[in-house]
Amino acid sequence: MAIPISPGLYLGVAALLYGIGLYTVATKRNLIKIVIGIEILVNAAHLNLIALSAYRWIIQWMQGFYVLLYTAGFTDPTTLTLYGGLIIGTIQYNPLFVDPLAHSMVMTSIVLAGCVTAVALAFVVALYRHYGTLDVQKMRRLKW
Amino acid sequence: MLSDATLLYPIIVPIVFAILVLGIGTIFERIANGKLQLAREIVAVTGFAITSLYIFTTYWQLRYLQAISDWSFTTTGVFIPVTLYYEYMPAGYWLTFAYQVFINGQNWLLYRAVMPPTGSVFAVDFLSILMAAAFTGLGLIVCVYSIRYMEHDTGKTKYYTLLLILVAAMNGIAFAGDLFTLFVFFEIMGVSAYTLVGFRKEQWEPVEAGFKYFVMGAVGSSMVLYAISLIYGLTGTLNFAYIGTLINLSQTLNPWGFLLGSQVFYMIIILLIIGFGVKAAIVPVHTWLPDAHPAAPSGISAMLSGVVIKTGVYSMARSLFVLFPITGAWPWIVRLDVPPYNLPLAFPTGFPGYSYPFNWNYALVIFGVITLIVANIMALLQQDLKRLLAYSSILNIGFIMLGLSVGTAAGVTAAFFHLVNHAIAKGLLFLGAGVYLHSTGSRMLSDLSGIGRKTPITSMSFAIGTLALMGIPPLNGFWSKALIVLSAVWYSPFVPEGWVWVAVALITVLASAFSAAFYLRLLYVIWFSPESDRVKALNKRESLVMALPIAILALACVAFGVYPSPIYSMANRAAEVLLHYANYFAGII
Repeated sequence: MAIPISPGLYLGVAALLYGIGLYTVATKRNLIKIVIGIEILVNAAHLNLIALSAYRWIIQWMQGFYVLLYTAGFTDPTTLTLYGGLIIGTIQYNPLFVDPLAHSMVMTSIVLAGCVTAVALAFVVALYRHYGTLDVQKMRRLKW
Repeated sequence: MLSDATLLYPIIVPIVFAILVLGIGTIFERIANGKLQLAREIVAVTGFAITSLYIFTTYWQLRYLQAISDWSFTTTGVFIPVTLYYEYMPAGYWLTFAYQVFINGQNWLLYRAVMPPTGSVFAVDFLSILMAAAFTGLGLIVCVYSIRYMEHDTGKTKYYTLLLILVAAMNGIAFAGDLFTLFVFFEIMGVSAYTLVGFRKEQWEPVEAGFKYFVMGAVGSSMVLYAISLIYGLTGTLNFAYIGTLINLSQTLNPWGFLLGSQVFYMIIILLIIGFGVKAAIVPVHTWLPDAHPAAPSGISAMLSGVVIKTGVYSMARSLFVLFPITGAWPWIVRLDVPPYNLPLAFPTGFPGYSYPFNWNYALVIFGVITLIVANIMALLQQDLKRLLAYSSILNIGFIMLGLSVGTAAGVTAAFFHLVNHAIAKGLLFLGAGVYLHSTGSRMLSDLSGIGRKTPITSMSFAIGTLALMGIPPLNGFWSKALIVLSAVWYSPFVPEGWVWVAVALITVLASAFSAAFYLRLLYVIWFSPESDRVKALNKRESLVMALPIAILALACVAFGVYPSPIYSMANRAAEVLLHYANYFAGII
């Protein structure tokens, strides 16, 4: 069975996206672009979740039998390493298994992000009606 | 202990009533020339009252469970955790189970033992119920107050709907037993809070403040989501209890510590502190608060300052204390002041793995001290009443942060005690500011001078709230501030860096003393200054519908100052929940 490549690539891209999002929110002057930047931030976290859900079997392979052995009464690390191999032999983990938890979370979060964006765009419309512009520099009447 | 869906009524009831308010309001705006519109307000108040009732019953459920647990432990030695929980969305878990057992051919018993659940849970304990009681109680008071305060506004149907949804989402945050549920309700709360801040959209200030709040809040939420994704990657689950168990176990039992014992934890902790800190308004990320509070309608200012920023504190405390317990606090947290004095423990010798050096409390010390300094200085410079009160809120968040950072039973008790006291007193002050704004049309201190004699009930209550936050002995704020100082002093001999905690105690005392400057200025302006032109022109009597909620809050300030035991013991039980995290794990696993 082919073992997929490391999740590091996906995690790196997600971190890069997050950086791009932060840069967008911090530097852009157009309100719409700020909203887009926030969308990028949220979606970077989504990508992280999806990438990690495909690699959950590694986590389980690493830690699952510790919980089992601990509940069975083995708490000594050397004993654990000894018996750990036996347990791994009995539990077969399927590397193609993708965890549905992260997917359900991401789908819910996409819906929430949609609501947040709708509220944000409503604010942008209201701001445009007041100021006649989308430039954030021109409307900073509030003290920082 | 598994419970039924009635546990969720404090979340479901406000949502149902929000839908009712929306329907009734929309219909009654169109019929009978809008004369029946008060029905909408009555329905909203009823919704809050019923929610409070359900929270009360849930609290007594927990008290009975506590009694049963104590009895069981003392007579039979069997430990029953004092947590009610309700699992929803278990389909994912059973689908995965079926796939692994029937298609992948796994041993079902081994699978049951090893695999954490993918279902999401609501877990209710004394901490949750304390927070939910504060949220719903203040919501009820603000709802009654808004009947008169919002009388000249349009779109009140949306206002009450959003208020009910805000409280439902905050109760959901308090009841969440996993990060998924917590995040969902956090976002719902955020959306309704942004919208309520920008409620009067025909003025420029609320819209701009709301957009600013939105940008900062959304970036904070995305940080929380990023931290959640990293936690998920490290542990494979989102359930608080399972994450906590796995992180703790991995510290002692994982010979390959590179995966779970990695430095990624520090990144997660920083992301959680900043992400929740945006909502809690700790100083480097506080800038939305002094804009959003003056711009919002006063009832919403009271909600924001009293409880919405506390959800950030609560989420931060819950996630940090349960997932990353502090080193060194363990031997000194067992003694609590309410019975049972020697608490039954799921793991009597201590949970394995607590020796891992999580010392994020020093980060909270730094944030707390900066918060105190900046808020004190900025509050002195303000000319706007509501802006001054907003900086006072930031100041009190600093006190709560320092209480949490101590991390012992006394410190965490003090933090939650102060949280509730500040919710009462600051709710009072913002509602009082709303009365002044409503009667004079201005929130500048120069326009409000000498208003005390014109609005006697409100201004007496306002003075009591000011004195309570200043920390004058017979009022409630004194006890919690004193306990924060004392807890830091008590903790100092037990750690090598004892001087840090002595310094924390000193800084807390000094900040509290300096804050008296702007509180006394408020008192002076309201009561002892010569009357301004606007106040002289004022000839209306104060409305009783608005004065009554304020007077009730002032009465609470005095009552809990003279007899602080009810809130103190609830805060103490809440601290016990956070610090005996192994019991919390046992309650859910």
